[in-house]
Parts: sequence; C-alpha cells; structure tokens
Amino acid sequence: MKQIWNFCGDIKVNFWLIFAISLNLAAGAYFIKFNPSLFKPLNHSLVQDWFIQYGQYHIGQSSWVVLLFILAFFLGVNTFVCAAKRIAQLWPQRKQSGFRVFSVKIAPSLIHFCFLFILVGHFFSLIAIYEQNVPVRLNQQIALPEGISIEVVSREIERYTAPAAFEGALKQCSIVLELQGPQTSEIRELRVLHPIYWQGMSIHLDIITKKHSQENAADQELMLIIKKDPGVAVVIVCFAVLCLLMSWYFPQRKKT
Amino acid sequence: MITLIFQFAFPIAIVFYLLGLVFYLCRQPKTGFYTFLIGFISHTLFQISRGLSLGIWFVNPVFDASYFLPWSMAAICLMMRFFSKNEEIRAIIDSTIIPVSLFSVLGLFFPRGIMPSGPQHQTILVSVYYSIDIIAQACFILGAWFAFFHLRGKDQDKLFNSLIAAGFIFYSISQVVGAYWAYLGWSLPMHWSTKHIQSASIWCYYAAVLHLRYFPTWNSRHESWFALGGAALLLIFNYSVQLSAFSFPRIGG
Repeated sequence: MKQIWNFCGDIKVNFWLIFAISLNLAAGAYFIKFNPSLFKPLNHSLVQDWFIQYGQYHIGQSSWVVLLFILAFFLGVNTFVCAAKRIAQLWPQRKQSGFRVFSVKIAPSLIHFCFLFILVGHFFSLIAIYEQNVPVRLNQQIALPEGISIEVVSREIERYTAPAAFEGALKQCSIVLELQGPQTSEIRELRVLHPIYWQGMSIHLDIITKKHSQENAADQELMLIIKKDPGVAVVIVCFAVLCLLMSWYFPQRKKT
Repeated sequence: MITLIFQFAFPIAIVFYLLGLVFYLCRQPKTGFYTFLIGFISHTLFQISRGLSLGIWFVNPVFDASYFLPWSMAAICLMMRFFSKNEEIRAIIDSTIIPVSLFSVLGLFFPRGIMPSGPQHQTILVSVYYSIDIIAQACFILGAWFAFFHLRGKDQDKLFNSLIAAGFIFYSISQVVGAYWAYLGWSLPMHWSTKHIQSASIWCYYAAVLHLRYFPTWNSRHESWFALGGAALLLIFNYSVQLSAFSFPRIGG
C-alpha cells in the first residue's frame, strides 16, 4: 500500500504524465486540424454522447481523447498525492519556520490543489452540462425543463459606420428576451459577450458566420446558447487563483 | 503622417535591426546596441501606428503576433540589459539581436493589414489576452536562447530558468483571460479547436519543464534541452496558425 502511495506521489511520474499529456494534446491538435467536422460537435455536446455518436466510428482519430482522459485521471491522482504528502510533511514545521517561509513552502501545494480543482471542473464541464442551441427567430418560444421558457421579443444588429474601411461590417448584435419562470417573468437584453445569468443557467448570444464572409449579412445567423455548466466557474476561479499564487511564489522562491 | 509610419516604420526598424546585427557580428556590440535601440524605437512607432492607421484608435491590431512578438522580445532584452550588471549576461543579451532580427524579418512576409473586429472581439479582454500571450511566448523563445548559451557553458546564472518561469506565469494569465473571454463570447472556456488544444499542450509542456528541477539525477543541461524543445514546439504551432492568416480579409495590405 505504501509502495503504491509512494509511486503515486513520485515527482518523476508527475513529470512524465504532464509531458505525455502535452504530447497527446499536440497530436490531438493536428487531428482536430485535419478532421474539423469530427471534433466540432464536441464543443456543444457531452463527451460521452459525442463518443457514442461520432468517436467510436473514427477510433483512429478520436483515441487521443480517450487517452487524454486516462492520463488526466492519473495526473489528478498523482497531483493529489504529491500535494497531500508535501502538506503532511510541512504542516508540523509551520511554527518553527515562521509564517513567511512557511507560506513560500506551502504555496506549490496550494497551486497543485488549484490545478486539481481545474481538472475536476473541466471534467464536470465535459460530462455534465445541459446545453441547448437555438437559432434566433423573432417571437419564437423556447421551452426549457422545469416549466421555464424564453421568447425572443426583438433583435438589433449594429454595423460599423466608421472608419470607412470597416463600413457595413458587423459590430454588435443584441436581442431582447422575455424570460418566463414558474412564477415570474422578466424582460432582459442579451448582447454578444454579455451573457444573462438566470435560474442557474447562462444564456449567450453567438454569431454563426460562414468563413471569411463578415461583410455579407446573409451569411450570418444569431444563435442562442442556453447552458448549465457546473464546472466553468470552478475552472475560471481556480485558474485565476493559481495565477495569483504563481505570480507571488516565483519571485519569493528566488529570495528564500 | 500615421499612414507613412504604418507603411515605412517597420521596414526601417528591420534595416536598423539588421545593421545592429552586422555590428554585433563585427564585434562592435556597443554600436550594435545603439543601432538596435533606434530600430526598437521605429518598431514601437509602427506598433502604435497600427492602432491609429484607420483614423480611429483600435487597440487590437497593435498586438498582432507577427509584429508584437519581435517587439516584445526586443523590449524584454532592453529591460534585461538595463538592469543587468553582469558583463557575461550583457554579452548574451547583446546576442539576442539575432532572434529579434530573425523574427522581425519573418514579420515582413505576413500580411500587414488590419481585420475588422467582429462583435466577439469588442472587449478589452482580446487585447489583454493577445498581449500577455505574446509576451509569454517572447519569454519562452528568449529562455531557449539563453538555454542554448547555457549548453555552451555560458549563462551560469541559469537566467533561462527565470525567463521560462516568467513566461509560464504570463502564459497562465493569458490562458485564464482567454478562457473567460471564450466563455463570455461562446459559452465555452475551452474549445476543442486546434488553437486551444495547442495552447493547452504548450502550457503542459512548460509545466513539465518547471518540474524538472526536482529530479535529483537531472541537471540544468537537461532543462536547457527541454527549454529548446519548448521553443521549437511553440514556433511550429505559432507559425502553422499564422500561415493560415494569409487567407483572412484585411484592410491596408
């Protein structure tokens, strides 16, 4: 048991796992580049559904996704054991070393825990989201679970008037939505990059543009993305904390 | 005036960078440095003119990787030279005129025009993301340059390690900013797209490199090789993406 625990917490294992993930992702990037139609649906579906619908029929191109999950799982275990071992080792020394030195010593473990939360957050974002993509049509009623619905009341498209070189190109889009909950109803404006948060969901406005045809209005379609993502907040918040900790830790490490 | 700067400042900067390179190779590092400085000023004017070239201030074009990457490299080198007291380190810093010139010359072959910002680019997050991302890349490339000197028995202070650590911090910040922007715009913090997966690959690679120091049997030479490998990976990814930029519609050439 102790041998397994030590193996799981080995820094060498950690290095080779991260390195293997890096290479796997590098290979995956090229699979995506040359098979965009295979991987595009993965952005808007659960990974398990995608695998049943597409991945299993193209195992040569999709096996790197399976490998990524396996490697990420082992990296998660390894990161947890490494960080836990280090904290268990440092905690009894906290009084002798003083707060500053102890903070510097413990910071890498906290960074690793943040990373662990990011991994878990990503995992839930991939396996447990609820998502509905609906093209925007005026006065259309979109029925959602739990007796709630959304209606598109109006839409507005703003185009560049200046500078002359950009004239006519799409600048901003907005729509007005009537959000009907079980008891309440409210009117809210939705713009690109300004999602609405309502009833535990986020509602985004996306523009589907045919490649390189930004000037041509006929090729653009507004899309409503209604989403419940249990992992996204964890990923972004923990990543931000991880960045803060690293920005503090690396200069301190040099001093100590 | 702005149009003139937009058209000519970058080629002028390259002329000065190349002149600086010639002086450096002729073992006149001081003259080379001052020529390099003039080139950098001209390059800075060009970067600013990109933001003003359409008559209204647009910040996004300032951070186009083709031009902002060599500019960031030059800026980091100048800062390092300003703060460095060590003559040996200064000599290595002077040699960075070689990669700066090389990347600037590469910039000449990429389209210089400006793309209109669509609705999903109407946020400061775009500029923050690209600027920090490119500064990180500049740190990684310079880290590899210093690692090369470390392998040759110079850079005994292992400055390449600090550059890689700084690059990793910047890269992580750019990733979180990018993730937030992608979430607001497309509802996804990470797309299954070539660009995003390549970024994740580079992040993991440098995370692995930062763990190398804890290997008791490995030394800084191993770290140097990995630093060089990281820069190679970055450049392959970077320029394979930038080559596709030729097909984007741009304004101004």
